[in-house]
Amino acid sequence: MSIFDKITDWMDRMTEASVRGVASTTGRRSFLARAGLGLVGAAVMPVLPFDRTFGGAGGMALAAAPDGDEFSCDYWRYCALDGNLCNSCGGTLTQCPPGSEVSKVSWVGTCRNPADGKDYLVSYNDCCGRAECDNAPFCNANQGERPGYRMGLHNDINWCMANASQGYHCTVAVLVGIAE
Amino acid sequence: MTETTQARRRLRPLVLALPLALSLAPALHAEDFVPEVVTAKETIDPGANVFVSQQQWIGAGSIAVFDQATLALKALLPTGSMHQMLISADGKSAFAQSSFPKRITYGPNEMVLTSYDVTTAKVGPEVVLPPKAAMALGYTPLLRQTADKKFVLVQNATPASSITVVDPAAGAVTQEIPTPGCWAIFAAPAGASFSTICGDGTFASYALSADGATAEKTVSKPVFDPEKDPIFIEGAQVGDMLYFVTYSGKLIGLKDSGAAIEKVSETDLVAGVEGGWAPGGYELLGANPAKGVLFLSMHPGATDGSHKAASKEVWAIELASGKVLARSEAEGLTSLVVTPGETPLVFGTSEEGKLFKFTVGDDFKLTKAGEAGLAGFAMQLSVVE
Repeated sequence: MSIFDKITDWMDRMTEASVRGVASTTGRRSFLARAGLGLVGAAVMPVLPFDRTFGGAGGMALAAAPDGDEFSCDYWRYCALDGNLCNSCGGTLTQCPPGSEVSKVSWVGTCRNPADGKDYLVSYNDCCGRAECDNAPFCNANQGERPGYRMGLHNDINWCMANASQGYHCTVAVLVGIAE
Repeated sequence: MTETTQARRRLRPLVLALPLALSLAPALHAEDFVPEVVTAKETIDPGANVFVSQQQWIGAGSIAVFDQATLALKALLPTGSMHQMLISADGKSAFAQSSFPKRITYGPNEMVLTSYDVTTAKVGPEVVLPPKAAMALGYTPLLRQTADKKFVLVQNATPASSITVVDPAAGAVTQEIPTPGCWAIFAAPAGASFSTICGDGTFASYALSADGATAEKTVSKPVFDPEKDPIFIEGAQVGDMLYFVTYSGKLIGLKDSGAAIEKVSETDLVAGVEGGWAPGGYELLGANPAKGVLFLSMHPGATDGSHKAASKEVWAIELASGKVLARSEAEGLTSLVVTPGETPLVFGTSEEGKLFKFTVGDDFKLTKAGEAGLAGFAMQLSVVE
């Protein structure tokens, strides 16, 4: 199974676990198309692939051991992060800063934790509805990043796209699974 | 009488005369003085242009119009936030697809396709779009015009992919085409057809009806392997051929006849080359059709994730054979564009906000010939002459 298959498989499972209806402007992600479920008008009820609470809880548990400097762009979780670090904008590694909104959709990277040698799926959620936090380090890493024809792996786009407020603020890095 | 007092007395007549002289001065010269009148220049200066998208994510961006010969800035065409740029084939019109969030960082986001008259730098008619357009970094294939000039095509992402078809003459959206799992737009060399790259390695092609309201779809066989060696979305169109490069450095030639895309060639550009060279950047390539040569941003020591790295060299590649004709040191370019004529010029931008100009020798080596300052995320350029 390729890493993209693993990620889309994980996304499918997350979707199944946390399906929620959203406004008609929000659609499903390309993994559905890949599975042969074409999107035509409003025939398919749009859903969100990520449950924002899942990511926070899982990420905190997995991050218990010290594993590097999370305020540096070299930190292992940031292997495909393109954006400003929310932990330097009033948020944390897994929390958006106060007043901002968690993006309803996100891209995913696969990063190796040097502390245990395992590869983790990292959800890079943008935080939305505030000014761009240029006070924070700006990081641009692209391991496993792909163009928009693999949208779930693409980071050259504003992932606040499905939110009511679409101003890009900063980005968090949340561990959501292990890539076996 | 002290020396100080004597000096004061000697200066007294001068001190008294100075205000009188100053008060008379305007009167003496008034009849010779012609006040200046402030106006707005009506047209940009003549000469071939290079257009640079200066994207902003925090507010208004612009399309900068530079003179190809001197790199003098002629005008800025105003855009909204996170815009995409399109220049018409004759260079006389420009388009931008922009976001205009009501409170800039929050609130409803109005998305608009704005047109511009390049000669006067004036904003022309606009079309309000479905609020789905991709808010992405500037990439040429995210906003395109069909070869018959009737339709403008807008890449959407919600993140589900679709394409909005706009009839600028009618000021109307004609349809939205779902393009699930596919991305980027390549107008066919004639008519009102276009193709898009799909995540399974195929290209999907669509032929629009005369009114743009419907489309017929055809799908190619797989032409690249998205798992092992994905292609960059920036392609070069030369006649009925489309050229793409892969992350590892293969040049893929596709025939675009308006129906299904066909793969006709694949060449490994880095076979036998020491140093781990690979393509990198954003608008990382450009072709000169007159010479049949592609110019490509390359960096050494490539690793997984280095595919957006700035150039160390620019390689000139013969399109017909895939042969590397020349390698020029040209550091720091993340995007480039090439003029189409017999004497090509290469223009490139850097992440540090510079526009560079290069002349091209008979041996296809580049020589730096100028630079200018840029603003915003300047990762997309366009030339038409």
